[in-house]
Amino acid sequence: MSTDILPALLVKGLTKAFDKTAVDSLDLTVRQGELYALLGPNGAGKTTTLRMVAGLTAPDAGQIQIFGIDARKNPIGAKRIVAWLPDDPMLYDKLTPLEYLEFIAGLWGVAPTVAQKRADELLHVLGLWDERNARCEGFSRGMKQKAALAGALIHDPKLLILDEPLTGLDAAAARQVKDLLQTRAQMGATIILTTHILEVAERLSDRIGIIQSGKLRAEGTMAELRLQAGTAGASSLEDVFLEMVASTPAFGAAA
Amino acid sequence: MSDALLRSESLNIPKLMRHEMRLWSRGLSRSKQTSKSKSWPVALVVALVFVALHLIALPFALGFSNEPVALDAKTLASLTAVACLLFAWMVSQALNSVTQALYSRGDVELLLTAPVSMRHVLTVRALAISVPVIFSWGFIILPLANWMAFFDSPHWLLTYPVMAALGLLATATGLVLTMALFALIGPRRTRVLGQILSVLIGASAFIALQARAVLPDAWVDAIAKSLANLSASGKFAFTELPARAVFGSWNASLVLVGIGVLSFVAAVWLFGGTYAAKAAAIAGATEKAMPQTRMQRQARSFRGGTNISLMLKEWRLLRRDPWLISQVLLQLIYIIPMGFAFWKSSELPGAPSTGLAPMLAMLAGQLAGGLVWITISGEDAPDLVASAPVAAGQILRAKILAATIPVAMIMLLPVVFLARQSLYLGGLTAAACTVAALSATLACLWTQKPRPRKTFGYRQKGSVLANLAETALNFCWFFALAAVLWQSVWALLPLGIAAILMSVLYRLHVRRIV
Repeated sequence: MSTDILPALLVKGLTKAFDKTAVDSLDLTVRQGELYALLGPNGAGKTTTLRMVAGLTAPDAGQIQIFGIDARKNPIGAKRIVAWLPDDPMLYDKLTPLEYLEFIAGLWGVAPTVAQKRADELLHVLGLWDERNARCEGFSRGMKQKAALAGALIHDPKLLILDEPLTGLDAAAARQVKDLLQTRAQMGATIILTTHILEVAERLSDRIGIIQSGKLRAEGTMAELRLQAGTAGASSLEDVFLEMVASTPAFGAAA
Repeated sequence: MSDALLRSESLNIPKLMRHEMRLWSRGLSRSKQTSKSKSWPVALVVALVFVALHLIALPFALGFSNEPVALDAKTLASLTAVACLLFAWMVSQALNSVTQALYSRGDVELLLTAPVSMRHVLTVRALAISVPVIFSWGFIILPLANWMAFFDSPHWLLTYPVMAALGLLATATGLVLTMALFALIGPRRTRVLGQILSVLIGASAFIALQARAVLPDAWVDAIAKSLANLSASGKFAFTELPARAVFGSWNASLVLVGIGVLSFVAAVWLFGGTYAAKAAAIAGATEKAMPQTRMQRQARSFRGGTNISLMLKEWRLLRRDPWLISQVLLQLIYIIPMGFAFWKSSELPGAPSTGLAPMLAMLAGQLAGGLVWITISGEDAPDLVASAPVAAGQILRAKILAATIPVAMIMLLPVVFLARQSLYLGGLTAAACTVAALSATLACLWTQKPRPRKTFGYRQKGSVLANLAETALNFCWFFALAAVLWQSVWALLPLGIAAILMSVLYRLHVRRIV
């Protein structure tokens, strides 16, 4: 089978319970080259789902396929083409951005010459070039988030998973990150992101999934979601989202 | 913020103190339980330990009380020496706590933004530091004082105010030292230097305790004579206050308590006004970017490979965390005097430096334990490492290599030195160092508790049991190698104990992961 027609991410019957069920037999398909926004109220199971896809949390049941690779049977193979960026940047305060990128490139087995070139490009694009040799401990929240994003992109992942990537960023930094994500998507990378900033999801994403109580409540383009929600033609994603999640009893408890 | 604070109309000293003591007691229990009803087991354990310490102190008290203890020159000198050592340890503990309280406690900014007098805040913070200082040393000293009061004379009960006064004075000294460092070298360096200074003071007191065993007899006699002359001159009479106080001198007791209280109040008064500015400067210090060094500015090519990347990262982090690395290296200060004492007292057969071999084995175990603990348990980005396409075993191996290669490099020179005297001795020492490092590595692996390195302290290992077991293992290798060099069958005893300890640690590990 050609890899072009494989979905970037195929999740079937994914289940995870902690004290209570966090993800409940979730089915999800994300196409190649798509920018997919996964939305949901607090405690809906978004982060747990994405952590399972990134190989950080073991599922209780279900299938995860990333570009046709079974992530449960071949986690190393799947991780090779995935990047995970949580809302709290995974940085080492005592390392400089260059050293951090060198470390990540080494972990992902990127050739040093290629890694160096990419690091230079990313640091320029993200406006961190002047700070490339300063330790991250002195960075602001936004600079840390950008350094972590550079780390996520250094190995040129086919699937980029971002959990609240714009948290703590100022308007200029947020614009830089959004532009970079759109460029990556145009270059063929698949991006899945969660965000509470619904305008960002509405503007950036090709398709949107709304998850609640560990289940996918709705999925589609903005137009499709409006139809499913039965809201007026010009309604915003916020209207659609609130209409959909508020119509279930679990919303009151989760929110 | 706690319910009590929310309920309060104003944050006065008793309320703030209650808040501090609750945090301290919960820190002691290390429990996730938050309900009031669950706090009694901590109190019960504390009470039981206090009773147990009384049982341990009983034989000593009986030994002293065979005949009435008189305050002659020898007793005065001995008690003064004990008080000086105790005070040094108290200052060490207070200095460490002051630094921690200023830099590590998350609620400093919360309290700074509250409508409370900064002097009240600092008073409570300082009291909260002095209480554990007084309690922890009181726990050790007071059982003996209680028995002496029972068997000898009630004047020994004056140890209580003496301990309190020394604790307050130590806290004031810790505050003054920290603020002096702050003024001299700035907020960022004060954190590291303050904590290193605290360990150095504690270690110096420990070395002073070992002086008799370590130094040549002629030196010990000369030092004793000098101290006796100093005492006779009366120039340092104030150092004798604690000894005279516990022997029933109310004047000495009152003066000592007065010094303790006044120094505490003076330190709090002096620094209370600038406390907010200091805390703000600390917050600002972490926000300011570190200056680039010449080395960092130089362009450098990336190096590839998973193992190289992991080891480079670990070495960089170790090198750039002087506090953690100093914690490990300062252990040498504790071990080396013991090794020299053994060297001095033992007459091992073979080459002249044979006595060094057991010390090296112990050192290798101790160093490996410290470094391996930091690399495998202190990980700031566990999710990043876990999301990498690298097997967990490979990551672990690279981390262990990163920790043990420096140990091997440190040990290489003395082992070669011994091997030049005798190949057998060198080979045996190298083998013992390897076994000690390996056992320490396994102990760390089996008791690991991963957490971010920024919230990490060398002394806070997985458990008290893990700490004790690791130290006991190092002693086992020390005595086993000494016995082997003596060609004694007693080598089997420490080897057997080590095997039992390893087996216990492994079983606990298996039970934890099942």
